[in-house]
Amino acid sequence: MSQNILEVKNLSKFFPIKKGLFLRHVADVRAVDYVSFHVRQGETLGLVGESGCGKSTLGRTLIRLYEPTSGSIRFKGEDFLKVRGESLRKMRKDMQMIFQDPYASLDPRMTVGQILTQPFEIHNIMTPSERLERVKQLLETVGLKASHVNRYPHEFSGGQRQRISIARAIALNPSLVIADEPVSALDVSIQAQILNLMKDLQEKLKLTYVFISHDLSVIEHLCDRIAVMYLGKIVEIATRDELFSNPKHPYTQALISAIPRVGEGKKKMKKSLSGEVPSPINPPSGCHFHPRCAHKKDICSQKAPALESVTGNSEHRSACWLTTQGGL
Amino acid sequence: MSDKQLSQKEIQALEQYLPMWKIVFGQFLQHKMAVVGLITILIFVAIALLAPVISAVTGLDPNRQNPLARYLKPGTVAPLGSSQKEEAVLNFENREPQAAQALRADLMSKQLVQSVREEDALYDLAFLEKNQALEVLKKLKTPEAKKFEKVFDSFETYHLLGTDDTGRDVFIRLVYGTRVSLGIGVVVAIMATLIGLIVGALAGFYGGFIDSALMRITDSLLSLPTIPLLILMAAIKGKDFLEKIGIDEQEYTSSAVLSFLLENEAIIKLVFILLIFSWMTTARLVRGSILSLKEREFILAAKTLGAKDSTIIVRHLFPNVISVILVSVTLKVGDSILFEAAMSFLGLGVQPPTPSWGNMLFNAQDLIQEAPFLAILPGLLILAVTLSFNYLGDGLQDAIDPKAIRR
Ligand SMILES: Nc1ncnc2c1ncn2[C@@H]1O[C@H](COP(=O)(O)OP(=O)(O)OP(=O)(O)O)[C@@H](O)[C@H]1O
Ligand SMILES: [Mg+2]
Repeated sequence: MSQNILEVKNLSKFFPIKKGLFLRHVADVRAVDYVSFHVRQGETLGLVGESGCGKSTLGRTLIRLYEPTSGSIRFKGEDFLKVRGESLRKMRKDMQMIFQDPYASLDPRMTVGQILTQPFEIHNIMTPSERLERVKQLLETVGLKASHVNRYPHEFSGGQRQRISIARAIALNPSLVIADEPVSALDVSIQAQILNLMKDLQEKLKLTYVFISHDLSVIEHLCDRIAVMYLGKIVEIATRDELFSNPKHPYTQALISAIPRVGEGKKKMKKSLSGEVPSPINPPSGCHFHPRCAHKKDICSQKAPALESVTGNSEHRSACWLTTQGGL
Repeated sequence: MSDKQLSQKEIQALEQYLPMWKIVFGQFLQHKMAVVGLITILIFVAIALLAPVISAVTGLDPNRQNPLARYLKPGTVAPLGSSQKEEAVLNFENREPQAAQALRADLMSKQLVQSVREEDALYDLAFLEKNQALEVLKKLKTPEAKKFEKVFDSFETYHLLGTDDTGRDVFIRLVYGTRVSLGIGVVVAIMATLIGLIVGALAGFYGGFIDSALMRITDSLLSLPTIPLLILMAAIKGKDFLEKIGIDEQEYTSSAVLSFLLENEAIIKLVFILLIFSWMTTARLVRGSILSLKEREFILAAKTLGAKDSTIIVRHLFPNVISVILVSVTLKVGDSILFEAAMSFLGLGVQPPTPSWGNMLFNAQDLIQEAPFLAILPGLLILAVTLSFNYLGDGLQDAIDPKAIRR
């Protein structure tokens, strides 16, 4: 078994809601609500959940774009949250992010060359001519042409822009890349190309991915393990095959049954989700999922279930009173 | 791939680096109306800067009144009043004392004028009918006489655009009015934009209490009623105010700064009032764009790369905010010119005799039927310049929008 590159314990991120001139603290958006998991060196961990469940916030907190409200992050065995100032800047080289919107993630006033040179400028690596060579090399690595170096982002298609984003993310040879819905803004035909590129790069550069998506079918292609999020919490985590063949949490079951399969109409969904996702400002008591759950019992609305190993499989954990009490 | 067949030359062309400003400039040139606007503005700027030169070349003075030539139609020639003729002769005597001396002697000895005293000779000649006087001078045939003929030319003024209620030349007043109106417009726009930029950037960048406090102030200023406040401000006299705060007449006449301020009191007050009322929109604009930029993913990407705050501000925030500012500053110049005109039209702005387009309009009210061009001319200029600034702003907006840029 390979090493853990990332270990997350009880991580939470609340966005305070402040009102009035003196910004009285009135409530919190509990975007990430005490989550714990780990990521192994070289694997791809999928993070899946409906819109607004806190996937992006979790991703951004992992990379410290947001300071967490509580919890700990160990990156390569080091306490990542203790790192500050100059050493944080240095450490960031090792951890990069690919963003969802290929139109917003590149500065429209910079050429591709300027965008891709920036990582080296920031860390003062190499001479200008070496940088240019490296940038051209990067462009070719992600399937673009070296002659694109002086073009502006608007001259590229969405897929090509996402390739530029990927080039920027791998420029500093990171070991961990957090990809926040890197293909959701793209056409289906292009999605496959980008996913394949990411797979190739992972092999070539020994990358570890945290891959965020709301689309289980995209996650299924790329990920070794999958964590399912609901309203700021991880409700189930397992290897891909285990999760798809033996989903324990009612929410996971609903998500899987909602994937359209060839030869199967959408109508045939066995378990569909009813109702709206509740607000993360005032989440339901007990298990956050209980108002939408078909199997809810009394305890579900009173006490929150912990993320615990499913019987017979220490790799498969689920946070549901049904599984902890002997399964469905 | 078809791109494989690109010739070496084509690839080189692709690799050629086009700086952003060149692309923006190219885009701007495509916007015909904006180019026309820019040229118009440049012409007016040139007029404003060259106003004293224009005055010297044409011999026109924006403040010279002529009771004999009130409400003249455009394109008429008007004689000078007697006092002005005297002034012109006196000028000649001072400029060329010898020539004047010789000429006087000639005139007296040949008895060409009926002067009692020799000193009056030139003045008496000047008050003759123009043709008669020129004939007299022709008879003399001396070089001094030739010189004096020129003085007669200045006895008549050609009023290209007519004259106003006190016989002042409208053309030169419009020229000087350009100075005042455009000057106020530009100064107010630049200062308002600077204030707006600072307030907006502070609010947007730091957020929290600074943000909400600054935005409350902005909002409350936005809700102030402009006109009543202006009337109030106009009622405060600079001198009274200085005396109130304990500065007496001796002090303010001896202080260069204070006396300058008092001399230009009306204009300074106007600029001040316009400033108070025009920085808020920019502040909101800047705050908004910084807030949205801060969340833009390319800024987040720079952060994850380890960029320092200063790098992010200089490389990403600044270039993207400056484009917003550039547009707002041009639009604001037009707005301020209109605002100045409105204030001056109400008699609250630039005070006569200083000409501004607004107070020229104000003056034109009395005899709008007899002399409509007095109102039409400054009105047209206000229209032309504000339109030009609006088109310029439009053109800039399109030009700097990177999404609209095509190669
Ligand atoms: N900066 C912020 N301030 C306040 N609330 C926030 C902020 N960012 C996110 N939220 C809230 O936190 C919750 C989780 O948002 P997040 O963007 O992480 O969801 P997501 O799972 O990525 O959704 P999506 O699929 O739409 O991207 C949402 O309710 C959102 O409104
Ligand atoms: Mg998201």
